[in-house]
Amino acid sequence: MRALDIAGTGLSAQQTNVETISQNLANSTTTGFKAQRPEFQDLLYQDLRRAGNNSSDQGTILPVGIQLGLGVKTGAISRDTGQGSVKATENALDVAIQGRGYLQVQLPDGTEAYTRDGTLKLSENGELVTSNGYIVQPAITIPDDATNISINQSGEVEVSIQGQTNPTQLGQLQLSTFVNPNGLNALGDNLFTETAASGTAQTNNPGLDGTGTLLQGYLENSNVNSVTEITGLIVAQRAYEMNTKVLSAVDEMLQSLSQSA
Amino acid sequence: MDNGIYIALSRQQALFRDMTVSANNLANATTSGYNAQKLIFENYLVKDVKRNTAYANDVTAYRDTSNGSIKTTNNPFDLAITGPGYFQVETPQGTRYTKSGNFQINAEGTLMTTQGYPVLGNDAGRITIPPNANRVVINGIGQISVDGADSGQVGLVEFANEQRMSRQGDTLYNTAEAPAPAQRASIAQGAIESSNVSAVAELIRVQEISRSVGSTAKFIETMYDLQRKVSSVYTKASQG
Repeated sequence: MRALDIAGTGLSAQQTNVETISQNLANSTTTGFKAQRPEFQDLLYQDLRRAGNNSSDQGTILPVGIQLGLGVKTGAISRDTGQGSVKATENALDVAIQGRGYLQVQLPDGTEAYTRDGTLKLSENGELVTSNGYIVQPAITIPDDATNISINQSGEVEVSIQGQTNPTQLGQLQLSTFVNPNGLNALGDNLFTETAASGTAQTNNPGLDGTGTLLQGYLENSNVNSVTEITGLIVAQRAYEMNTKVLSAVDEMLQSLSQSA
Repeated sequence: MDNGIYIALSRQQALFRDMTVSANNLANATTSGYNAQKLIFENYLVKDVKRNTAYANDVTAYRDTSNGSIKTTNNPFDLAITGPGYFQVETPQGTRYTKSGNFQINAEGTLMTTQGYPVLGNDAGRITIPPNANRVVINGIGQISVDGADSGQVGLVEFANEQRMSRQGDTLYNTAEAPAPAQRASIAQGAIESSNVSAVAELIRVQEISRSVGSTAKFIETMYDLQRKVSSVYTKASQG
């Protein structure tokens, strides 16, 4: 009975839908989080009658055929890479990225990862690190007698050091962009790594070549739109219900068959 | 006598196929660019000496080609078609057509479907978005402007007979007919065309089919009862 299996594919698709929505809602206050969206596609078709076949020996042809579809599948789960809103934190080490760029961090195994989460901290050696303690590239070390850390929109980090009248420039943060940021591989912990689909990272100073600029004292909110998610949840729940309705209807049909005769 | 049961059987088989179609429509109720499918039944007449006997026969399936509702996503590469038009997609098997416009760009900047097939422009070539593009605007007729510079045009085609198109899965269609540039369709950027499945109509259909199967089964049962009665009457008569 095909309809049972088809309803089954519908149920698992809607389950994926609800899972994605709950992931988005759970991360609606995660800094730099990008909302995801499942994209569904129909499965292959069985041809019971092919359009264009001869319907008689007089050369008449079937104008349309019968193709029975076999259900639905999740084709992809894509990420909405749009900008999230920013919120002020007044913390000198918080930076929000306005534009397409990602901060580059070094993972403990030496490989590079990329993040939109600009909640920077200082390590015990004074290096700028992420909340997980991974060093932001290029590494910038803040001396322990430094005060008034300032990060401008081009990523230049300047501090005041006691006894010096002019601020000291310690380095410049850089931003990486990708041709297809949707193709990045999510690692969790707000981190991404590059893939063959994303293209290699193009690293540049903030403000150049469409990397975006930095905003000190602000953080980027997630771009999850809770209204869209809740509407999506209602649609997914109803779609799930409709597929269970098919299951019970087919069940009744089979029951009436087995009870007769 | 037997004809009755066979006619009922032909109806049962057709009803089960109809259920498959409705189940597929409901399973794809949230598949973007999906078009609902409907079966058409026809009485299949068999010449009989005394009367015409009509068997149920699902003669054809047609596609509801009306537009689904448009859902905004704000992704610049999501394109919804309003009106009768299709995007052209380059697949390993040749050019295919789709109404589902949830596109992405790959590492080279080529506009792709989610399966990784390039989307074709109106010049039948691939469409490439230059890297580091800040603002991609795609207008109603598919012209792409990247940061103000012209960057090709998304091809939009139409067909004289959409019902001749066969479904390939992955919301792709194939047809032997040559495409013509779309005259009546337009593109909305940052939006996706939802599936045009009417959930209420399908649910009612599902219930209707389920009930019809029940009543047909009841009918077959009655026919059997009749046969049993007839045979017992004959048996008694022959014994008597």
